[in-house]
Amino acid sequence: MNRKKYKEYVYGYKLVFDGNSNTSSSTLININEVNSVSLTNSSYRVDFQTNQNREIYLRTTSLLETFSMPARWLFCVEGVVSFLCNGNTQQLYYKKELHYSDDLMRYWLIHIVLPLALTLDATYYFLHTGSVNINNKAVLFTGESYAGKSTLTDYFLQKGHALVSDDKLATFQKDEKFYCQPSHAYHRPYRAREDLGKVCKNFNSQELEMGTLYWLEPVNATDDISITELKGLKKFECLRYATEMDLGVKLKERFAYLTQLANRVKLYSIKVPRDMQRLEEVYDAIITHNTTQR
Amino acid sequence: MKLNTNVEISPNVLLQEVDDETILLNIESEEYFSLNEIGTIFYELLQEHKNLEKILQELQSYFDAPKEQLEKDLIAFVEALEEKKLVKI
Repeated sequence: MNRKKYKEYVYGYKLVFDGNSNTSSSTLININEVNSVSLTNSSYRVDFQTNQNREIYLRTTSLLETFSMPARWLFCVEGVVSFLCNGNTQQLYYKKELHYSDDLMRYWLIHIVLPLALTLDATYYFLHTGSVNINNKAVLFTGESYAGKSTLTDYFLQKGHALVSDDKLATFQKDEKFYCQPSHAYHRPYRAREDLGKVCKNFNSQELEMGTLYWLEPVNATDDISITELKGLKKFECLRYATEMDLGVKLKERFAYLTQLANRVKLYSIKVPRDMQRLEEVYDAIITHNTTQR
Repeated sequence: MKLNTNVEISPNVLLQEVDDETILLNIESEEYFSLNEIGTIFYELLQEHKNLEKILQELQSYFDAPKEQLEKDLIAFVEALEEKKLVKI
C-alpha cells in the first residue's frame, strides 16, 4: 500500500493519510504521523474491553461525564499505535509503536478510533448493526452475539443489495427523520482478530434514511419464521443492546436520542431458524414485510 | 409503609414516553422500566406531591374505586419503585 496516495471513505468522511494537512473540507479527515504523542494532565483513563487480545484505552484531560469538544484525547493500542486528537476530529495524529504495521493502524483507526472520535464530538450515534439497502432505505439487523447479523447481512449482499454497514452503523437525526451514514466498504462474515474483512464492491456510499430495524431472534431449525412489532420498553431493550460506542456517559442525551428513534422508526423482532438452508425464506420474509410496510 | 410517609423520586431517574408507555431510566444502574397508564398517573402524582396521604386523596378523584383498594395499590406501587431504587423514602 502506498500510503502517500492512499485515500479511503469511511463514515461519510474521506481519510487522507500523511497528506497535506492544509487541505480542509467538512468531509475530510487528515491523519498524519508524528514522532511523539503526549497529553499533559491526561489524568482520566477509560479501558476498552476487547476480544482482540490487545490492551486498548482512551486518555482524556477531563472526565468523560463533562467531556465536550474541542477537547484533547489520546487513544492507545498498546505496543502498536497511539492516536492523538488535539481538539479537532478532522486532524488526527498517530505514532508508531514497536509492533506497528499499516494494516493494524488502519484496522484500529476504522474499527474503533473514528467511531470513538465521531461519538465524542457528537456527530453520530453508533449502532451495532449490520445494514443493507432495501428500496433505498437502510434496513438494520441487530441482535445478541451469534444471532446471525453478519450471516444475514452477507446473504442480502449475495442477493445484490448494497452494503450500508457491516458492524458499526453511524446514525444521526435531521429534522424529524433518522439517517444512516454508510460505514466502510469492508464486510467480514467470519470471526477474526484485527481484520476488517473483504472489500465489498457493492457499497452504498451515500447517506440513507433509516428504514426498519429487525431484532434477530434465533429459533430451532424447524420453527416458523414470524415477524412481530416491538413496542415501548422492548424497543429500548433492543436499542440499548445495539448501542455501539457505550462510554457510559451523557446518559440523558442518549435516552433522549433513543426515545426519538423509538418513536420514529419501526422495530420488529424476527424469528430466524438456525438453518442456513432456510436463509432464503428469511430473506423473502423480510423483503415481503418491507414491501408491505412502505 | 404508612400513609404519612414522604416519598421522593430519585434524581437518578429520567422519564420519556414511547408508544403509550412511560419509560423510566435509572441512570445509575442503566436499567429501563415501563409504567402502564395507571402507573403513569401514580408516578405523576408522586412527582407533584411527596406525601402519600395527599396522593391518595388525589387518586380518589381519578378512580372510582374503594379508598382501601387505592391505598393498597399505591403502597404496592411505591414499594416496587423503592425496590428498584427509583424513589427514596
